[in-house]
Amino acid sequence: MELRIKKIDGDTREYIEIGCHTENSKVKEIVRFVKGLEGSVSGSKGEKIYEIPIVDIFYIESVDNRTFIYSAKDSYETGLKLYEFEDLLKDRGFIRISKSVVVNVMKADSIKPAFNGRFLCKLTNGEDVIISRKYVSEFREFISRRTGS
Amino acid sequence: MREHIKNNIMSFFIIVTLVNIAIFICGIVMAPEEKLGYTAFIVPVIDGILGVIPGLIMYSKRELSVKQMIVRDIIQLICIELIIMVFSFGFTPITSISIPRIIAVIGSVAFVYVGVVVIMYLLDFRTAKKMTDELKAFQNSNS
Repeated sequence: MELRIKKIDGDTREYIEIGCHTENSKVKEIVRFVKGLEGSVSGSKGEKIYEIPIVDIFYIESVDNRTFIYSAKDSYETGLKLYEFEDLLKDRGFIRISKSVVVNVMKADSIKPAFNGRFLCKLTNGEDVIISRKYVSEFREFISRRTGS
Repeated sequence: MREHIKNNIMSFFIIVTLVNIAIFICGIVMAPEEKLGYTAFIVPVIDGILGVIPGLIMYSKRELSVKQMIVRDIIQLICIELIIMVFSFGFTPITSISIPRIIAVIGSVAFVYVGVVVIMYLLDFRTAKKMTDELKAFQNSNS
């Protein structure tokens, strides 16, 4: 396999591109490794324990004192509490949007109104999560502060 | 709680405006010759206060599901109808002449209630659009 490194302008966003014939296990391993460089958290699904790259997490939800991590298609149970995730990932684009959900803002696609001052956050995988009335102003503050507007 | 109070203040002003419209429409249709005194100006304000009381009392810190919220809204509408009926007709005997007025008031309260929900939704719609724009700016600056 040939390895190429190309220098790009400072204005252009850095990227890693893999040229392959098929997306085989070797390629998937490289992708996992690169994503792992951004940090990961452990979660279980059935009997197996997985390392979930933070960039792959869509949202984290607490249900009946149990915490679940949701990626595009899968969900994993974790031993950490929601407030621990909130604290751990606050500088990684995650914010609490209701009593039971912390969302990855980078995975949000659009915001729509729900009734009674609540909003629906549509994620890029098609799922919807509710931004409750209490957290709307914090959410707005979070995204506007980060953009500097 | 702060957000809840803010929403209720907003509801109050929307109710006052819509009650004015309802009085105008009902008046034109049912009693076009009737002349009203200065006290008529205070009626929408009192209706506005009475209209937000159930919402203030029924405030819940719990995050309600959509179903629970719909049930709460229906109960709230029934409470408002009862309060306004007592305020408007509770102190006078009901005769056959007052029945069309009672029906008009019941209809007006429902009209105002739906109007408030629709206007609040439209305001939220505008906020949501703004939030989506802010979200995209956030994602562009952080990707």
